[in-house]
Amino acid sequence: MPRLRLLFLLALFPVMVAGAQLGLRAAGMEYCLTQLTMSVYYALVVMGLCLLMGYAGQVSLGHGAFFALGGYTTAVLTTHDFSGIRACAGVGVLERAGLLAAQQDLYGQAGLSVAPWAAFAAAMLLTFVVALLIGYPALRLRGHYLAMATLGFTLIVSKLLLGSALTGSADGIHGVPEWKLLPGLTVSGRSALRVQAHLKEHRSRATGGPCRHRVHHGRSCNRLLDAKRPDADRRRHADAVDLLDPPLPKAVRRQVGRLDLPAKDKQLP
Amino acid sequence: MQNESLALQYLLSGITKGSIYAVVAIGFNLIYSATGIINFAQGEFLMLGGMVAVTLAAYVPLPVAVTGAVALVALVGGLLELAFFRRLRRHSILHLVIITMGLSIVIQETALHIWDEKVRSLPYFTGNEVSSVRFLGAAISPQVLWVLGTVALAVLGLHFFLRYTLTGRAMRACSSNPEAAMLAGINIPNMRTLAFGLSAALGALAGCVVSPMTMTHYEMGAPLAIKGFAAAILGGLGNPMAAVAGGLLVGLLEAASVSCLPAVYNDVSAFVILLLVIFVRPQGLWGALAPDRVREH
Repeated sequence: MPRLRLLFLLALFPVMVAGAQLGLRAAGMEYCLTQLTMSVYYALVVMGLCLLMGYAGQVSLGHGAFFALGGYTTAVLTTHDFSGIRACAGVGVLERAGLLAAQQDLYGQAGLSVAPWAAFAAAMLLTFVVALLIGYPALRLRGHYLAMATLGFTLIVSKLLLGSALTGSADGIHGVPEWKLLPGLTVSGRSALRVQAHLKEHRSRATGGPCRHRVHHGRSCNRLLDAKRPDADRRRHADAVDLLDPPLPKAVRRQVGRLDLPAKDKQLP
Repeated sequence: MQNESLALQYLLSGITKGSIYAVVAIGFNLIYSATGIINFAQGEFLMLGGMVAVTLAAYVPLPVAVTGAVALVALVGGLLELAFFRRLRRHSILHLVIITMGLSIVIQETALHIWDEKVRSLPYFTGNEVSSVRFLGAAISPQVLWVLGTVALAVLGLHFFLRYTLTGRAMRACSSNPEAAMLAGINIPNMRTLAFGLSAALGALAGCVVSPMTMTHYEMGAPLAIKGFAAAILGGLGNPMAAVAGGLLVGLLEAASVSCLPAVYNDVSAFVILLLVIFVRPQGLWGALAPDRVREH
């Protein structure tokens, strides 16, 4: 019986995803899809947090750091140019195995970066290892001390990411390549595909001006649908750099406001 | 000679910052000992103190404005306890942390509506922005002396209050053994309200004395609360004097880090050392690990 229920839920899931998609589109409320996307990847982070807090009973204020580490790892690996190591032995093998992929940067320069799926795996692995390393000593602590340790860890990670040139300092990383899951189905955070009403609202609130919503329509239903895929989205949001969520709610809110800012494109010389 | 005076300058700036963290940490400790709550809205008391004093200073002389601000914020602190925490006794540590964080946001937003997003400051208590006192080759603002003096006096006063007055001793009794204190006829809920008020008053006083140097802004509270919490943990929760040492340590670490690393990393080194310390000593530097002191959360 439980198996039947599971199957039913599994079948219900795509129906709900497609239903939300089509329903909101028909109602002209695509902006809600952007919100749904955000809530889904927050939900994913919270699922991880629940594992720790709910099952293990430990207080963690440091989960935003893992979120950030994952996002930054994929963003760095997929945008950084590794063509300097082309001469090394074994690089050709990696390239043929699909671990490395040729990329073009904003200026049309060819480069060699890690393939999105490999970066995804690397990000999970790295975050796992970091969590083990920090978890081993931290879980000796109790109550408020553990809360402080995890909070401190988050602040350290956030400052290191902000201070390092590799992670783009305060500007972050943009131009993260799309992740092709299936033919015609990609995960991307291209700003043109995103619905920006949230940004407008945010701005008009800041300036106190009248709130005028201007909705950019997503071009491809397929891609918008695809952007709802939670597992992909957590790690592969194009503006992965803005995913850093310090644990204070105020900061979270500010980050949420920032998530929708379109990726800043470099000015061509 | 040049290097020595530079080092001294960093040292003094570390002590100044550290003394503010110390006050926040003492505030954390007072409330924690009396109620078991870590009050993340502690930083907002500094902000409120500064804001109210700036507003009052437009109408009354500075000392009256500061006193008024301290009294008003103490009242706010007491009311917070009456309105929220008196009813929330049986909640887990996590609930309380989230509630205090929520309160901190509410206070911030309220301040944004009452005042605005502009940065304000009180006038310098003596002298002005450019006046300085020479001290062993380092130049310090007279306001630094005001900060150090006020913090020292407040700490001493608090120590005296907790140790030698009946009310202060009753408060300590509440924190060390609530049941016995209750049996001895101490009104524990009132003591908790008093702890909140006292903690808010201390915060407001600190907020007033730093206002000329660091300015007062409606968002200034949260970072201070984090640093103060770090200081309280580093010293060991439940021990106000250890909080002073913890606060000074955090301030000095920050100053040392600024002197040799890029400024963006100033929190990193302080927190790395904090983590290392609590990994080695899970109860903080001077905290007690007696099992009866650990509350059920």
